Amino acid sequence: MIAAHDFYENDYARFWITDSILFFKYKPNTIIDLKVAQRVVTDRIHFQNEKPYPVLCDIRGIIATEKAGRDYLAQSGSILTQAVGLIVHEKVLLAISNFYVQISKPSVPTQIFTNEKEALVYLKGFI
Amino acid sequence: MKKEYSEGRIVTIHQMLFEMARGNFNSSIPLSSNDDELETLVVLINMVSEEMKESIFHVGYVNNHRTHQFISQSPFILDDSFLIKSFTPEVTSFLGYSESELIDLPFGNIITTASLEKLYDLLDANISLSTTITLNFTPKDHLPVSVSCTIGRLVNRSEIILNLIIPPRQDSYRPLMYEIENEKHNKTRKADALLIQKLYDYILANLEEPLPALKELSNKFGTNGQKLKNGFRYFFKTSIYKFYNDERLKRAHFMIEHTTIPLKNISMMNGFNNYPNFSKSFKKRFGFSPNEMKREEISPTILPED
Repeated sequence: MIAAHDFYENDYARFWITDSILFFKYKPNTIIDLKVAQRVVTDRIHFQNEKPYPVLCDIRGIIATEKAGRDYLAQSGSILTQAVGLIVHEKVLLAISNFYVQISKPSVPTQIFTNEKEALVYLKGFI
Repeated sequence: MKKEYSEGRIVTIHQMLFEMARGNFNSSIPLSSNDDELETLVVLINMVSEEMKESIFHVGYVNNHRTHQFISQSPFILDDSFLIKSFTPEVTSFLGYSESELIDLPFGNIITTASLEKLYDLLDANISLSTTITLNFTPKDHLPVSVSCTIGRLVNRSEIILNLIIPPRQDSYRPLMYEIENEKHNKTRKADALLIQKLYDYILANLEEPLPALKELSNKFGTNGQKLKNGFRYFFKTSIYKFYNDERLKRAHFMIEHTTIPLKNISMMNGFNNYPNFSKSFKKRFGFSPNEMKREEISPTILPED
């Protein structure tokens, strides 16, 4: 078993890899605009360095999103990801993430979860 | 549990909806810290407004204060035992049945039982002039649709003629501006927008694979190649291949810039069969070869945990 040995943090998110899954957690009160989307995607890609992972994406820190940011995540955000499990906890985020999945249409398989365990079961299918 | 919404939040939603009706998609409803149904509506309205601004009304929006009229008259001809003998082609797209499925089908199979009884009653009364009746049709794979019809007998024949006034299908929206912009494309059906959108999304989701041949694509989308080709050009002003190629080159550019993945692998990861093809295509698009691009220094920021 591989321990969480790599860890990275920028202004908007923290991420690390455990058991071949990339854990991605937005910081509280993050607004996803184009700039933020570009920053987190490029940092994540640098962090991964060539190797694709399934991503557990904890978006509970997100408070709002802009179209340009959503579109960027749906397209460029898919690079080096095999699948994405979004973790949400409240109604508003559920509405935002449903909208993202159905309208922005991320180009890798993306599902919404309210608990981390189920998300991990889903993501393990992609390892 | 009774929920109390503050009036102020409702007022801002109303204001936003009025702005949208006026064509202003730049406003947005202020967010609150509540996590309730009203707040989900607020974020959805804001996001829909953003999408509309960029996708539908990006060249501007003019309210012409008219309602689009999509009404078309479509007759059915039934024989005296109520078998469908003929109809005009719009009927098939309205009901979702193919022509061969409809011919000789008992008319009772495409309307509700209650409507059929209504029809019998009317005909028993031995009408001579055409009469108006509302029938509930049961389209294939869709909810029943209530349609006004006129019904009458043809002169000198035993058949019954039924004239439908067909309402537009709700999923076949097409912005008015395309019609104004290009008269010769008026033939493009409303449903094509949905088809072409699917193709567009498919291409974006499969940039890492070579683009399937047109024939394969048309099989996949259940249509013919000509329709895909022309439809794509009509809606996106570029060819299918050029769009695919541009998008995968942009993606490759991004990967060269932000990763240390060897160029050869990047070319493979973006659907190119060999590196020379990739390099040539890349140079044509950006004016320089992939190996001339400056690559970022990688991973100085990874901090070991212990």
